[in-house]
Amino acid sequence: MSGATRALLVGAGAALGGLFREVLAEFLPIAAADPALVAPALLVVNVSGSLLAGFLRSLAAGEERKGRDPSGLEAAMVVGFCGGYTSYSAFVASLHEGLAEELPWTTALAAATIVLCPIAAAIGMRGSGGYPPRPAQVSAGSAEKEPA
Amino acid sequence: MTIAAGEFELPTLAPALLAPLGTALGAVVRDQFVRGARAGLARADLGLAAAQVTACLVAGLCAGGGAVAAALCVAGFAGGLSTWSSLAVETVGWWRARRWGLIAFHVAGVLVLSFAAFLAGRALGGGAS
Repeated sequence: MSGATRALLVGAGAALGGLFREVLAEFLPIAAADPALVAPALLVVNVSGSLLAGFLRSLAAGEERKGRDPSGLEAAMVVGFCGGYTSYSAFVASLHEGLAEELPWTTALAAATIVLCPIAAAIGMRGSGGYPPRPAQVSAGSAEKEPA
Repeated sequence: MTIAAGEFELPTLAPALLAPLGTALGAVVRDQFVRGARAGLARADLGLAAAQVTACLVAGLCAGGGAVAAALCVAGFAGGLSTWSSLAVETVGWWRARRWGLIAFHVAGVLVLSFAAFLAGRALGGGAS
């Protein structure tokens, strides 16, 4: 896959993921009506995105084991869509805002994100054929993976 | 209904359109961070960490901006440059490989660095209260 094709796939997937995140975290009536509910909405976004990323990552590993090239799926859906849908910077900004404004549940929501996202990813992996045979190496083309 | 954005006005739907544009750009840059770190340092995870910290710096810098900056740079570019899903997937791999040091660095260390970068960005961008 050429660099331009990969960039297009990553960008297109991320644009769709970013749109989903915006809609869920900002425009849901329950979150928009009360700013304190934006952080829980973001938790839902990050956990569901991690679940999907785990599912797709394991699916891609399965495709690779069958001799098929999963790089397009990984670029568009794992790096692009799931990467664009979830957001670490929004998590940090939300944590800062929650601490500054002493919003309830701020620390608990942060801890929940840190614990639940990897658990969701692991559940996703189990849901699509089991864990990949080795660490995913930040999902960027299976042929280029090497030990971290 | 519109929101003011400098000398022009944008419909309220604009953030929903600008954010995906910024997200796409951020995700492509993140991919380059990861691939560059893998190629240059044989440590793809360091590319991810650099992307997370940089995204938080950008989010802090643009935090005091208007609606356009919030949509394009904060929700968009910084949101796409950073990711929870890749970190979650990697953490599962590190857990299975018993790479506790990597988990500690990426879960705790990068969080502290990212928080500091966000605060520094806010201070530099004039958004600190």
